[in-house]
Amino acid sequence: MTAVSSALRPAREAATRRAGVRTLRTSLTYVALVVALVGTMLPFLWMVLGSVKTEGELMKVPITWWPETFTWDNFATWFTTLDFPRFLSNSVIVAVLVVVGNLLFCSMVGYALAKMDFPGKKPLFAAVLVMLMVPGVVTMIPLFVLIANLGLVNTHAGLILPFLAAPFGVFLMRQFMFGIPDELIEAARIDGASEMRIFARIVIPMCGPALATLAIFTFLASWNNFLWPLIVAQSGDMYTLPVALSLYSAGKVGPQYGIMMAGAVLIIVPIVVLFLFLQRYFVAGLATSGLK
Amino acid sequence: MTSTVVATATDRRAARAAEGRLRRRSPRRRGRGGLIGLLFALPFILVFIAFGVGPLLASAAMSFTDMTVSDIRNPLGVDVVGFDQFAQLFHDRLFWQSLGVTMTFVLLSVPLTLAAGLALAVVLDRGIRRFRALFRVGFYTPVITSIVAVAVVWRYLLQPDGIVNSALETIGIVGPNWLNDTRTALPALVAMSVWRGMGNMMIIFLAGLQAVPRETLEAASVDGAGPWRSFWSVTLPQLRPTMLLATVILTIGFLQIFEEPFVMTGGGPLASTTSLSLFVYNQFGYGKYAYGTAAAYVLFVIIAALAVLQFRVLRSKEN
Amino acid sequence: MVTSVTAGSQHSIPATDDGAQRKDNGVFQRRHTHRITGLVTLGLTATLVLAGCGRADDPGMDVEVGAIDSTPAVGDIEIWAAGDFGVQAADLFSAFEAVNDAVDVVVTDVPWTEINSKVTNAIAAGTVPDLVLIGDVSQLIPTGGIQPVPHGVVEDGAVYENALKRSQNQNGVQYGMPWYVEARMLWYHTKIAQAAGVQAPTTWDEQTAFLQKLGEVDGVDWAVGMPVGHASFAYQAIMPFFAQAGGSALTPDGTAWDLGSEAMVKALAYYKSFFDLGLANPDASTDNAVQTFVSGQVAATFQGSYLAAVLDQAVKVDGFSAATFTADVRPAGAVNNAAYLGGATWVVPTGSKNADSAWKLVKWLQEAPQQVSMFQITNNLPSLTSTWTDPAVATDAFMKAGIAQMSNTVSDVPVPTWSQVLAVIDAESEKVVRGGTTPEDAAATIQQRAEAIGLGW
Repeated sequence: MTAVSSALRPAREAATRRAGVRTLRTSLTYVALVVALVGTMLPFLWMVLGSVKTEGELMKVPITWWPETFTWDNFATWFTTLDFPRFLSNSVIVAVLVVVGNLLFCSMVGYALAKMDFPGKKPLFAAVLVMLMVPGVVTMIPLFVLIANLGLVNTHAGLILPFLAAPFGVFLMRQFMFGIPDELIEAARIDGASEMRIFARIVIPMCGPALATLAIFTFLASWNNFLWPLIVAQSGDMYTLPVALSLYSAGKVGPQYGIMMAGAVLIIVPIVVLFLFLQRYFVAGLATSGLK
Repeated sequence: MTSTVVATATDRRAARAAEGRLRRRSPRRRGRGGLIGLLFALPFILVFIAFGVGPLLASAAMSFTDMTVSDIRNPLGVDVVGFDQFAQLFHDRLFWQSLGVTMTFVLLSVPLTLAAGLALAVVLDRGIRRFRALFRVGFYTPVITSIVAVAVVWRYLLQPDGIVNSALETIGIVGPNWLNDTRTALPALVAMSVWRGMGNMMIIFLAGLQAVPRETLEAASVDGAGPWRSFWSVTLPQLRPTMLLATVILTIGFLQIFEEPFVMTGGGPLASTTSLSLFVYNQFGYGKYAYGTAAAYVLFVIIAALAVLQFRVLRSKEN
Repeated sequence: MVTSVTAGSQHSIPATDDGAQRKDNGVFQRRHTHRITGLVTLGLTATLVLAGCGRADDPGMDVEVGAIDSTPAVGDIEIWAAGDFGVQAADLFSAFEAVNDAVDVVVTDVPWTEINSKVTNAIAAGTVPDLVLIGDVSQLIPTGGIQPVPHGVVEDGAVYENALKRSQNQNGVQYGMPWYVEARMLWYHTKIAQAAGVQAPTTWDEQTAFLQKLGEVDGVDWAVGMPVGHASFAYQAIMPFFAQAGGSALTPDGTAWDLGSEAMVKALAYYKSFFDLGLANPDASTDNAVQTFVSGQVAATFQGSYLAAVLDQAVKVDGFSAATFTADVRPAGAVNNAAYLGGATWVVPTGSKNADSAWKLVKWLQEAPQQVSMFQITNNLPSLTSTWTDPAVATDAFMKAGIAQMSNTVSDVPVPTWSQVLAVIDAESEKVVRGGTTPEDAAATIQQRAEAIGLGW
């Protein structure tokens, strides 16, 4: 023990105190977060618990939390009476194709808007801006008449086509493309590479985060899309998951809660899994897509 | 576009002129850009016009006719009535009510959702180190759930003798009849929409926060700034573009609010939760297609006007 | 509505784009011209399209009514059935296929809340099925999308008259064939009534007293369930009271609304009394209406005979019988004891590719043996009145009460604008309950708004 260390002691004590305060603050933060999380997820909890209850118990007033009797009947109904695999495949097919279409079209036009010049470029971007602000209800009826006249009612194409050209995707990709250095593209051009080649070999590989973000947002929007499939899918074999959920949980006198809860759980599981895996890209993608 | 640092204005002008000359000297690139650019944009343009712009113009035309459900087998067999539908709208007390409901809803929901999302993002980004992924997914779950099932659950929770009121009782507040009282139904929907929307805002702000340079924050804390101070003076200004983005997104989305009132309250009690989109939907349900479309166009104009306004106001602050 | 995370509402801000800025300054004039040209083109296109519009002179409501013969049905018959009876009655349709072996019947169930918009969309798209089981027919008639019922499907007078009226146009042309009917009766817990020592009421005053006594029994929170507001279909409670007080929605010649009469004032006042006297919960939710009745917290309710199936499922432990529940015909107002009439009606869309066979199927379904089978499978009262005396149908106390109620029913008003007018009734009656208006003012407002809306023919 020297004079130096004794002189350092108050500083060390202060540092320890600060560290103590920080630890307390961190612990409190965790507690607060957990409380907030539980509060946020409360409806889910009830939903998940409700999916394994009997209809009779779900009808009880006041509501019960922990199931008195466990039953897998509600889930079973979705796979026996109702054609869950069918609804699932419809949702997947539509969502995947919408995502692929958007990734392709939006990256192409985003690149063109950001890095190229062509006649009608400004009006196109203006039109995209405008469409972004158009509420869905405005175009619902003419769109339906169009799809009907094309003979695409109750088909996958009818579910997919209206969503292939999403203004949001254009913005995201265009924004991201601005950040791609011109020198790279210039150099490739001088080397004689075709535009298509430049796009496919140089630009797209650099767009990873943006593409992932676009994929997630688009997938989510398509997966939960309710109103349009309700109009276009006219028979059970074309229903997507949200449509099936709302239509098949409607009972005669009131909703069939067991089926509804089980269906809701089934719909959300793929999304949560997807999100768990891709959320890192999600946040990173948004960050690097030029939120400046 | 090479970014050269130039000292004087004349130098800058000279540099620009030189670039311009360089541009003009490679017309091949320009020309190739012209046609090829169009080709790149073409797939999008085709789908966009067919399924976006086309229907938009068609519905604009429809709002100038007297089309109703009786005309669905013969859409062109309608009379053009000019601005009659819009004139009728302005005399419709339900239209004005739904307009008021929508604006109130937006005014309440946007700041609250922004605040909630920002708070969550800051806490998750700065406040804790572990379990971030878990919290992120957890708080994002309301965004991705089906509204149909969620609405039923929320209705249960909001019953006069439901969980929410029981919880309020423990701190001595007598909770109102949330969904059946014209004064509290809309606030209840606001709460639910904030709950549903904060996850999205959290993600957006998380992304924005990543762009805040760590060095600045560290410098601030070395200077003795507490967490509040550094948030207010360092983080928040850096987040301004993100804030603008988030606000515009939220406003556009909330102005169109439909599913929540549709599934939760059906627009009641006494139309106190009937948003403009729900009003339009109801008109379609009555078969009044042209009338509903006219109202939808009014909504569109409002959305566009507000978006532009927000751009001007919030953007100029940063310049 | 695609939610806020949609392909519609997210965008990022274009960062200040120096390149664009510079180009702008140079080509500002050109862009301005482009914009004007664009707008003019748009305007011209729109005008051209609109110029092509125009209503043909109304040819009048001369409708051709066909006829069906006795040759067997052939081909595919595609059916959309509201509710869940289509799939339940699969055996019935199989029997038809057995009798007509050139026929293939495919049935899809559609929820009640969706059937009308689905059919409307199908009519617009030209993708209609061959046969539809539906509730509200009136809104479809002016579209020209459904055909009138041909001669020969049923004998005159064989089908319940009030149900037939639901699908007629303003000239009495029949557009639909009712398949089953039901009327909303008064249901209550037998034991609670016994505990209260009361008998089934037969007048409005007796009903009030009856319910008051029920409400006083231990364990009962509310004497009766009464719907309030649009989300709960309050008009289904108001219209019976209105009819019971002698009211009629349309003038005798059927050309105008008559909803502001004294009968409406009386009906609204009586409806309000349920809440003022604490007999009904003004804040009840439709979510648990059935649950609270089953548990006894609500002692009585107005439902149709379909409630039997629901109760059967919900009360599996105690069993469901007349010992547990009683269903009675409604008490009478000043004039009658009309109950709200529900049920389902067959219609054939105009674009059906196999309309002839579809009507033959309907004709077969309307025959007595098939109507009885339908009842046995689905527990719905057949629309063929001759079956009502059949012991196979008038099986238990509940069905007997339901049949007895048929002598007085009031249905939805068969005009295209009914869905708008009932919304007005829902809104005004809700205001009466919550204290925003008086029955007199509400009745006047309903009549005024209904007049503004018109009939829709």
